[in-house]
Amino acid sequence: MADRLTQLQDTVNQQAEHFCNAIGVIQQTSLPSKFVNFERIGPQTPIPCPPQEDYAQLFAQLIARCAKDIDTLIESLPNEDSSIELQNSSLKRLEIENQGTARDLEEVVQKGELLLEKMQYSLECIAQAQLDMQITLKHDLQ
Amino acid sequence: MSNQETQVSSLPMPPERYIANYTDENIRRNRAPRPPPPPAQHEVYSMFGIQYNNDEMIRSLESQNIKRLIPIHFDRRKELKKLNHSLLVNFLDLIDFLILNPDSPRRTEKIDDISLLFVNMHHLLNEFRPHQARETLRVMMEMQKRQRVETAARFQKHLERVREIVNTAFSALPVLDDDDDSGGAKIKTEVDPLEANAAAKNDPSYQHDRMLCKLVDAIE
Repeated sequence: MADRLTQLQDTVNQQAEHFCNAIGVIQQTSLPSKFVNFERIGPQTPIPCPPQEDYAQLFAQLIARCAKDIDTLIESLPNEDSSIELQNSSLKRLEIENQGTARDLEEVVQKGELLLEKMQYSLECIAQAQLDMQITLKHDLQ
Repeated sequence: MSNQETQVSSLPMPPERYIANYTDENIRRNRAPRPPPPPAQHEVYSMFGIQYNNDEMIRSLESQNIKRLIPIHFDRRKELKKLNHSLLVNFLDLIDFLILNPDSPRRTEKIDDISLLFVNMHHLLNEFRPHQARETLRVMMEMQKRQRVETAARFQKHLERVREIVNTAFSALPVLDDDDDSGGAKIKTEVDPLEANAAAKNDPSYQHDRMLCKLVDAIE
């Protein structure tokens, strides 16, 4: 789904299409009407059968619903409170906070690396001591 | 007006026209065109027949010779709603004109009014675009910050757990010391007649003590 601004612009364009289609379709399907006090003596022109639907009502509903949708989308737009200065200061504050959290993350990673080195050194000492004990035991057995 | 005078195309050329300028041979012979310099502070430049000013990102309605229907200081949402309602009223007026007097010049005036309303609405909505871009950037930075904080917290938790495991392993070591003492006792009883090996009896205990000292130093 698109963002709200794009939805709103699409709805406005759709409303314009509804305007054009309403006038075009109603004009196309309209019936000829008789002039007052101007009737022919001869046989009347046969009137075509009326259309099944009421296009005027249909387009009226479409246009009204579209206008209501536009109002709803306009209501969802942000207020003027979040102005450019507020946004810029918020962006700068976020940048500073991001740099701070990046430094914190680096410090934690460095602590982890130090602990890893200590553990590796401890394991190395343990292995060395075990090797020394094995050598000593061999000497004792001999 | 400017389009009719200068006949500027409204779209860029297809990419092949630009790619052909940057073949390896052209680059080697220094024939490839360089990127244009950035415009100066108040320079007005033309892009596809439309004049752009560097100060304002979106051209105002006055500079486009379009009548402005909204005041200078306004509430955008209220003005947009007014324009929306004006659209409906103007459309109803247009229908009345079509019913009563289809050939009057006021019909075309009404159509122009409706077009003007649509242009103003779209302009107001497009003025929200820079705000939207900044808001999107702010949301991205918020997500980045939250990710970093969560990653640091998770790493710290793992670090504490590793320290606990190491301390637990270290606190379990005295049991080995007791076992070693009993083992030493066994060795003493076995090699008691041979006095020449008395010096060798100290070696395993000495090695074990050295290992413990190194471990304590490393952890602390």
